Amino acid sequence: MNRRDKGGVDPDEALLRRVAAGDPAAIQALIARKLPRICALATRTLGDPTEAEDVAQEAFLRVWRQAPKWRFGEAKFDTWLHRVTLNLCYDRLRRRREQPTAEPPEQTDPALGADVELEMMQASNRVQAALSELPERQRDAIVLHHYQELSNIDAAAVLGVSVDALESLLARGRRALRARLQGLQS
Amino acid sequence: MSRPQMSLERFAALADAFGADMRRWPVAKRLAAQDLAQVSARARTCLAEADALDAVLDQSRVTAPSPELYQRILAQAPKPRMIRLRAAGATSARSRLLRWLAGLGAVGVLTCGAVAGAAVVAVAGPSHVDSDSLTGLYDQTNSLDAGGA
Repeated sequence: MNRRDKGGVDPDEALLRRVAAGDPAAIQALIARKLPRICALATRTLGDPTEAEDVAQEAFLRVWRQAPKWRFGEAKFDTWLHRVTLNLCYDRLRRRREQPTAEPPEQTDPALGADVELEMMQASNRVQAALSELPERQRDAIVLHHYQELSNIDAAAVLGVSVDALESLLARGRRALRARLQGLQS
Repeated sequence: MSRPQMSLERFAALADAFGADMRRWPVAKRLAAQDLAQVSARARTCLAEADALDAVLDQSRVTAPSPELYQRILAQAPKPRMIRLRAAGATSARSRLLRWLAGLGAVGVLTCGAVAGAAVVAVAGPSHVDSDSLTGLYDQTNSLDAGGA
């Protein structure tokens, strides 16, 4: 992606330069900063935390390869990383369609026990199931904008669409979710 | 200069798409949207509906990445030692290049010296030396030697 973002200086630039120079502290800081976001993106896209961890590992392999030759000023690193992660998820979703296996496991929390916790987990699973049923582009738009909190411009850049097209994807996706999740709205 | 205005329909469409938090709306629309929300109860109803859906979406939880995953990723990261070795390799290559250039310089200096010396001889000596005069000089030298013997 060679799209120059309008957001000015890349907030990851200084850290990425240190990663490229092999600074161990910077490498750890980059993992700490990006891993939870990348895992969340992959989990919500794939609906499977175990597969999401594999995707995150693959995504970071690409980061290590790319860091020394990163061309600053062309694309934001975070936008690029989201694009890479989504592409890795698409590969897995495609393989799933070609070789259907068992349903992805529901997310469980080992700390569960209390009824409230159980209810929260069930609600979470319902939202995840509704997200998974959305058309791919609508789901991705909602995940990038609502959960990953990317700006409109960055989310549109990851999806390779205009901000107007992003608005349309978000609106259709949210309308479908509202219909499917009515029981959860208080 | 008057601030841009927004229709309720446009406001509802933006809330539908981007949710209740107007900080997440396109920058160019925010001021007009805030103005409308202050004066229109229907606009605020649109925001409340969007907020309800946002709250439902926020019920989705994801587990934090495991420490094992963090360690696996860290283990795959480039090692500082490898980078130092690469840097050292680059330095020794640079040293070799400098030595080679220095050698080239020395040869150049010697070559220039030789050329300059020849030029001096050419300027100080006869402007033209043909093969006959060389033969005559050789003969003269030989006869002197013979006479001295």
